[in-house]
Amino acid sequence: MLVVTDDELAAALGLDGKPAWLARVPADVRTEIAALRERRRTELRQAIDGAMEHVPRLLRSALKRVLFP
Amino acid sequence: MSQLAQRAELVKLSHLIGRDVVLDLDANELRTLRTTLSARLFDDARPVLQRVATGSRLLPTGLVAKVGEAVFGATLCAQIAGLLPTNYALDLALRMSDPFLAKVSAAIDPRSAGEVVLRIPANRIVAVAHEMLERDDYVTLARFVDFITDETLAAVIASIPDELDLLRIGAYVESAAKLQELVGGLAIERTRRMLAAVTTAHPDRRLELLTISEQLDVAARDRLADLATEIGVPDLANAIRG
Repeated sequence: MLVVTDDELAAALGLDGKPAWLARVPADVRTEIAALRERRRTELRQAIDGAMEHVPRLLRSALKRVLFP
Repeated sequence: MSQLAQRAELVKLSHLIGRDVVLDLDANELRTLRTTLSARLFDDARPVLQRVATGSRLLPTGLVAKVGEAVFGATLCAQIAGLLPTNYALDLALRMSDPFLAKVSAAIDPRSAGEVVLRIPANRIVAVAHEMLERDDYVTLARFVDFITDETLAAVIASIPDELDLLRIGAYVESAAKLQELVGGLAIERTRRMLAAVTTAHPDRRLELLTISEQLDVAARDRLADLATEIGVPDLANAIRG
């Protein structure tokens, strides 16, 4: 299991400091939170690739310019 | 907040993470963790989602709705919805199926899509609410209580025949003021039926009832307890009074 420290968890949540309760977040939930952020990024990339296949060819290059400037 | 509130927060956090989690945090701490994580996930994706929202305007609305439902899926559509102009988001939502809208609702932050939700016709909201009920998604139903009109809310409540379903939704309503209003507005006969049903239902229903009652003011709690006494369940009445 990936070890997520208090500092890493605070950073993953975007917290400025480290509230006392952070230390009581168990290891499996820390790992789950880190994995969830990565999973969401992957899902987004895959969704954009999948959606592009449905876009008419004529519009694809214009759309790509907007999505990947 | 009590252990009952902690239990409700754990359910909401599990909902966000996508699996059941157990943490030794109080309700306020769990709520902070949940809202912080939710905001972080959205902020992570915001720049790309903003470009997707802009790019979608290059395509016909029907195609965007179709691709949204078939390819993007509920979570991403929920995140993008809040970045779209209200009229356009509404047009897209109305082209999507009820089961899909129920899934989008589970992932959306109602605060970012409040204007769109307010403008969805009541009959569609009722239909989507029943999709959520089919999925036992009481948490999502409760989150939307604050974001639909009183008339639509009344239509949803009237369309739900099982008072225990109403109880399960009420246990997850975030605003104590709204909960007070809902309990006060429920017909006395339905409230009696709900209390009677609690006595023979799974023990979790009793916990949910007490989660609700502890958020009510003393007068409302007493009214609920009096009804429990009237139907012959004094132990429940005592528990409600605390």
